[in-house]
Amino acid sequence: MRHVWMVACIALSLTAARAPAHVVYGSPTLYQLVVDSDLVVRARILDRATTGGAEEIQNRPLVGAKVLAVYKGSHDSTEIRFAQHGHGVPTYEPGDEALLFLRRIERVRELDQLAVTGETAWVSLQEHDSAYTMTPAAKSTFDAAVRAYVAAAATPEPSARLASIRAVTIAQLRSPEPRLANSALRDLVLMGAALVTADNAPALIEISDDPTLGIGIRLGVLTVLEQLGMVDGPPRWAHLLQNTPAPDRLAVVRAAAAHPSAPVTVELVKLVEGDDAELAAAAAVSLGVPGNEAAIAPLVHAVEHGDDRLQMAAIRGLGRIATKSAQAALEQISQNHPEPAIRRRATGEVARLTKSSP
Amino acid sequence: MALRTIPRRARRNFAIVALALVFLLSAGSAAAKNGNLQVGTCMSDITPISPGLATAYEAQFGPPAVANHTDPIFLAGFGNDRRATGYNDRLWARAIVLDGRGGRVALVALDLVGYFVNEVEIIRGMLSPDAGIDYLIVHSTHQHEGPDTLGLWGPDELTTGIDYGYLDFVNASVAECVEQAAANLQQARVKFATTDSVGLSLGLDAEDDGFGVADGKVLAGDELLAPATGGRIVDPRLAIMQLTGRGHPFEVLATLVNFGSHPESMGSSNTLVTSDFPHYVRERLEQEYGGMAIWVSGDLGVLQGPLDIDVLDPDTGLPAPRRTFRFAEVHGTQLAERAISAINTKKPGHPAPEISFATESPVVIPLDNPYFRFFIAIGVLNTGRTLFTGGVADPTVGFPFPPPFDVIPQALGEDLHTEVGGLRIGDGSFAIVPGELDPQIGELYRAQMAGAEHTFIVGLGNDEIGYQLPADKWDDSCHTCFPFVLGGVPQLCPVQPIDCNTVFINNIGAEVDPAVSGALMPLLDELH
Repeated sequence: MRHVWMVACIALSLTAARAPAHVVYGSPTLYQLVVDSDLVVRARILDRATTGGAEEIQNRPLVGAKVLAVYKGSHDSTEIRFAQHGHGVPTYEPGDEALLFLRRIERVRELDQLAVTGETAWVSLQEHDSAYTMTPAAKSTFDAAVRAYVAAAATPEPSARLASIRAVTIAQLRSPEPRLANSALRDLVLMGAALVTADNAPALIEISDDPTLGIGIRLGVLTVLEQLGMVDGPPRWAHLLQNTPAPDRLAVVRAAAAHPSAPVTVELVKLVEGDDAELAAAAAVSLGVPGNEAAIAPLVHAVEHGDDRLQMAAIRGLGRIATKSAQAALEQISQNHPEPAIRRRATGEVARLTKSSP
Repeated sequence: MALRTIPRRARRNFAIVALALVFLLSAGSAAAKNGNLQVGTCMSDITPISPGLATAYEAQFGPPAVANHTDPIFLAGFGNDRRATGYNDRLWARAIVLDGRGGRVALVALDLVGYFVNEVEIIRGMLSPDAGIDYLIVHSTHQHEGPDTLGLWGPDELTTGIDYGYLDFVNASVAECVEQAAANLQQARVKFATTDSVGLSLGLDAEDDGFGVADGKVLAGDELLAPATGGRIVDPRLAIMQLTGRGHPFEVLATLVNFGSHPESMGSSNTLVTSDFPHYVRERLEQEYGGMAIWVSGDLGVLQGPLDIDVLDPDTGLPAPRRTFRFAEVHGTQLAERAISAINTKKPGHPAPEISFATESPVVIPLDNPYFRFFIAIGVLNTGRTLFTGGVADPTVGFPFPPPFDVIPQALGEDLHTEVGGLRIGDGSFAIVPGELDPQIGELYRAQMAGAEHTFIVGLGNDEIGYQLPADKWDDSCHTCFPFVLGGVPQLCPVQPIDCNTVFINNIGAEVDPAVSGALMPLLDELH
C-alpha cells in the first residue's frame, strides 16, 4: 500500500507544474538538481565578469562558459552566461569543466532586476558542495550518471519512471565516484519507501555487506533497510562493531549511538574496555543513550580507570543516560574522584542535569 | 533601518513574564566592595588540532601542538564534508570578567559556529565558586570556517560532524580562562562609542547597499519597510566598549566590537581554519591599543553577511577579490579603523559604573521544525540537546507521519528550552539573544534599551537556536511540507509555493520571536 501511494505521488509530481524553488538540507542530490533545473549542461568556464550594461543596475558577477553538452532543456548558442546566487557559491576558474544546473532567472526573486535588463537569462543556485567540477578521468562517469538521471526523470509512464529512478539509484550506490554514491544514498534515504522493494532488497543487503564499498554507504543502506523492517538490525550492528577494521570502525561506533539495543551495548562496552583509546572514547559517548542503565557500571569503571579522553567521554555518556542512577554516579565522581579535572567535569554535568549554575 | 510594531503576542506576554522568571540581581556576592570597576581578561587557544594537522599547526604557529580533535575536522557553516586542510589563524575563547557595583559578570566570545545551551550549562557547572561569577555569557561569533560544534556538517546529512572530545576541551578551556580572568582583576574604567558602517563597501553588487554588510534574504513585506533598498534591511551600527586601566596612561585592557554580519567572507570553498574577518579586526585593534580585542557578532540573522559586498583594497585601488584572505583582511581592517575612529574621540571612561543584569531560563519554545526533529532523532545534532514535554526532559523518538512517510524518525518532545538575558554596564546595554536575530527585531531591542546611550546585541548568546525573524513574516510552507520535501516530491504539498530558504529551514518555527521577545523585552525594560 505504501509503495502504491508513493508511486501515485511521484506519478503526480511528474505531471504537475514545475516545482517552485526549494532547498533541502545540505546539498541537493544529483537527481534533485536534474529535476529542479530548466537547463542542464556540461560546460567549460571561460571567464568571470560583471554586469554593467545598464546604469540602473549595479554590477554583479557573471560567469561565461562554453557549452560542451546539453543534457536537459535547450540552449541555442555555444556559449552561455549565468549569474550565481546563494549562501556560498563556488568560484570557478577559467578552464574548469563543470556540470551546470541552471534555472531561468525569473524564478529567483532577488535577481529579477537582471532579468529585466536582459543581462542573462540563467541562474545557478549551486553552492560549493553541489558544484560538479570534473577531472578528465571522472568526466565519463559523471556524464553517464547525469544522462541516466535525465532519462529516468523523463520516462513518460509513471511506474516505469519510478523503476528507472530505482535502478539508477541502486547502480549509483556502487559508483566509484564517492559524490555520486553519496548522492544516491541520500535519494535512497529520502525516498526509501518508494525505492526499496522486496525485489531489490537482496541487492541492497549485498551493498550493506560489501567491504569494498565506503562505510558511509554501507551504514546508510543498513539504516534504511532496518527502518523498513527488511533486516534484523541489532545483530547486524553488533557484527559491524565486531568486525569492521580501522579506520572505518570509528564511523560504525559513532553511528551505533542512534541504533541502541542490547547487542550494541555489549559490543560498545567491549570497546570501552579495549586498548584503542579513540574507539573507547567514541564508544563511551555512544553508550550515552537515555535510560541505558546497562551502560552505567562500565562507564563508571571507565571514569575510574581510563585515560583522560575516555574519562571525559564516559562522564558525557553518563550525563546523557540521565537516570537517577546515572546522576548519582556523577555526583559520586564529582565529590570523590582523585583527579580535579574529572571532578570538575562531573560537576559540570551534574549542573547541566540540575541546572543549578549561574 | 526601518522599525516594525511589537508583535501582539509578545506585548501580551510582557507583563506576565516580567513578574515571573526574571532574576534581577543588584548585589552580587563577588561585587567589588567599594563599587569601583575591576576587569580581568584572558584568551585561550581553542584551535582544533587533529593528529593529521598537528604538523601544520606547529609550522604555522610555533607552539607544540597537542591534539584535541580527531581526524577529520569537519568545517561548519556551509555544506557537508568540508574537511579542514590547514590553518590561516587560530580560533580563540576570549573572556572579559567585569566586577563592580551590582555583581560580577563574564562575557566569553568563541570563534565557533555556535554553542548549544547544554554545553554552556556544563561550563557554568565547571566554574569554581571561587571565581564568583554571577552571570556567564558564552557567545559564538558564528564563523563558518571552524569545527562543527552543533552536528549538522558531518561527512553527510546523516552523520554528525561533532567530536565530543573537542567539546570537552572547549568546555575546560573556557572554564579555566574565566577563572584566570577572575583571579587577575585590576582597577579599570569603561567607555563606549557607537558609530556605523556607512560607506564601508562599494555598492557595486545588486545586494550591496554600501554598509559593509548585505542582506541576503528579503522577507515578504520588507519592501514596505525599506523601499529605498528594495526591502534589504541591515543594522549598520558598530558598537564599541573599551576597558582601560583606572589611572593615567589608561592602558587599554580590552576592546570589544559588536556588528551584525556573518563571519563567512571566505565562502564555502575555503578549507583553512580561520576566524574570518574578525581575526583582522582584532589584529588591527590590538596593534593600535594593545590589550585584548574581542569580536561579538550582533543581529546577523536573516542572512546578514559579507558574501555579496565589495571592499576597496588600498594597495591596488581595486575591489579586493571576494572569497580571499585579502578580502577578509581589508574588510576586517576597515571595520577596525571605523571602531578606532569612534572610540578615540571618547574621554577616559567611568571608573565605577553600575552593573546589572537579568536573565530568564528556560525560555520554552515549541519545536515546530520537523527537520530538526529528524536530526535530533538520528543523533546528528548534539545528543545533549534534549527536548522537553511539560517541562520534563523527553528523549523519545517515533514515526508520527502517515504512510508512506512513516519511515521518517522524529524526536517527539514538544519544546526546546533556551535562555535570554540583558546586561547593563553604565552607559552600555547588552541584549543577549540565543540565535541569529533579524535586524528588524534588533531595532526593537535597541529601542527598549534606549535608556542606555550605547546598545549592543549579543547574537548566539548562550545558545544557537537558528534564525529569529518577525512572527508576522513567518512562512510555514517549508515546515508544513516537510515530508514532501524530504521525500523528493515537494510539488505534491498542498501548500505552494514552498520557501525552504535557510532562513525558514534552520528555524524552530513561528513561535521563536514571540517566545524570545516575550521573555527578553521585560528584562530589558527592568534594566532601563
